[in-house]
Amino acid sequence: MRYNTLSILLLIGVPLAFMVAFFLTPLGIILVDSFRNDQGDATLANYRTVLFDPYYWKILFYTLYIAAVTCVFCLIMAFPLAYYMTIVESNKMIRRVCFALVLMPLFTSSIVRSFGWLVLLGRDGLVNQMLVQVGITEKPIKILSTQYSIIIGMIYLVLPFMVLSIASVLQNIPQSLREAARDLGATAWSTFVRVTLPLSIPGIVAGTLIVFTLSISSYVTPKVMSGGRSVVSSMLIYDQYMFVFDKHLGGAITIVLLLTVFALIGAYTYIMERGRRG
Amino acid sequence: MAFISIDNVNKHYGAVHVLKNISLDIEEGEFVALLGPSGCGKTTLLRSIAGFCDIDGGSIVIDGRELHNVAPNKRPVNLVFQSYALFPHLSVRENVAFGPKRAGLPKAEIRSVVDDALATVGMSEFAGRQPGQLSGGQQQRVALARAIANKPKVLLLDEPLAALDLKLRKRMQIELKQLQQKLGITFLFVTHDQEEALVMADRIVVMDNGNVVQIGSGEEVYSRPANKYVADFIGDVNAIPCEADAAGQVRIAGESEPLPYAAPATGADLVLMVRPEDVVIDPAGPDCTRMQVTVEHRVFAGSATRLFVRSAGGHQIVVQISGLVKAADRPVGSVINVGWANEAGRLLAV
Repeated sequence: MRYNTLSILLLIGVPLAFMVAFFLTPLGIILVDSFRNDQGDATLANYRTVLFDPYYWKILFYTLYIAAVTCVFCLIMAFPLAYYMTIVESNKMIRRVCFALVLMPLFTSSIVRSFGWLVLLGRDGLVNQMLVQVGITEKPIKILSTQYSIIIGMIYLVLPFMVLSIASVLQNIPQSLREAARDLGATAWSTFVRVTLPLSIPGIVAGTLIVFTLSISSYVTPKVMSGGRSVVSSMLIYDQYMFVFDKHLGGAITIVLLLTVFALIGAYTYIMERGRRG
Repeated sequence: MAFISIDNVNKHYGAVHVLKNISLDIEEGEFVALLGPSGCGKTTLLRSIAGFCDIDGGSIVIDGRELHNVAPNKRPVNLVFQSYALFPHLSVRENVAFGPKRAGLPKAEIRSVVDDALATVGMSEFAGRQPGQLSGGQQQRVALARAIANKPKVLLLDEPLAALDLKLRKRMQIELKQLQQKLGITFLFVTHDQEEALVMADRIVVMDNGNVVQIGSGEEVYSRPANKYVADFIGDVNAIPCEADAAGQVRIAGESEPLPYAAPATGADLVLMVRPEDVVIDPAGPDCTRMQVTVEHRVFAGSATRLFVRSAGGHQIVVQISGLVKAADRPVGSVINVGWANEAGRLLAV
């Protein structure tokens, strides 16, 4: 099918204008701000601060660490779930219920969900009550305001995206391929390792990218679960803009975070693509 | 005991009875076609043998081994899928090597087995390609190579030619037949195409609605169909309604001349089956049934011409004459004599 230039422009014009107005322009302003000081003079001082003060490095690494751990645990939990929903369960009704349950957390605001975790994970929360009652610990343990509470909250927040990404790919692997593998002598496990898993890599890549980027940029969950200290980049940036009113340093942190994430995603997709081609 | 012995196999999908007391014996090295329309149970039977479908009752024995509860990967059969089911992430060579690798063959042997299989189907030079880069016919050959690389005792083929265009399909029919003769492997082939079954199979198993209706060689099934369904399904046929009188004499409905067939004891409706190519114009010879008919319609189909004629009694009969019959010779509306040798007709109860 051929498209003429006019119809292409009409089709992409609106989204293009939207992106330019509400994404590229603000990003451009942030970029310009990050190279200036309060007097409006061009300077590299903001970047010097961000790149040479270990404090900022620590927060950047912590942000990436939380996102990576979230990603790994999401993958471990989402894959069996997606596999069950698309391949094991053949009843369409039950499949639909599963999809609805997976999507359910997205129906409520992330603030409400995060506060729900406070109730669960607090000193006298349900989890601690249970641990003490069963006798695993004598005294309630501190879960809130640790990296564990942030990771738990984050996993809960982004898990649906991982499940849906993987499920949509698994769904499109024809059953005949698994049958062919069995027919050719493969056990159920080797069918999974040799056929299903390699063919689901695009879903894993998409899912981990979405989850990783969502985790990096997430603000509310780390804010609530960390007890309010600035522990991840998004909170640091927010504080720079809203409390310190230093849009120059805030801009520099933003740009450094953005470029770091770009580089990581680029390297990741490159490695996965090469891995797939063998 | 036969090489493959299918005994009294039943299968239900919910309330639907898809296989009804199927019994079938197949000898080693035979090429057998399961023929029937979609939904007749032929694919279900094939999948039951491959192990992808649990049967509700009966037994399937191959080479003395009962296959109940034997996993698909432990069965001495391989299936060529209708969709080919080539692994898209593996090269042609890796696809074919998949089975031998799972069997744990040493590397050198895998290499030679794969090379042999690819050479057998004429795909050696495509070993390095990905399945997505191949045409339908080439994928079909790779699927075959992948199956035969495992040296199965029985090769099951589920409409493997259905996705190919007519010309390629006809060539592949011959090639498959030759391949089977060369390998000596028992082939069990599912198809809904009667011509395909006739061209390739030593024996045809005609299925309808979960039942085996007739088993026989192509000639048998074609010229001595067990019932109207088989006659209708395998090739074109004229089905002319008949009547039996009290004395047991059979006549074409509305005609006076008695037919030389014995009426079956049952009081069922009778039809006379005659293949269009057995009907001739101005039949000569003694043992013939003759009718005076009017030409209604003429169709030229390349190698043959078909005349649609109607008898005085109102029965429409198709006459197939090889070659071209000019419109001027048998104009529409002209009255002609047609007939057929009595041995070409077959009286069946419906």
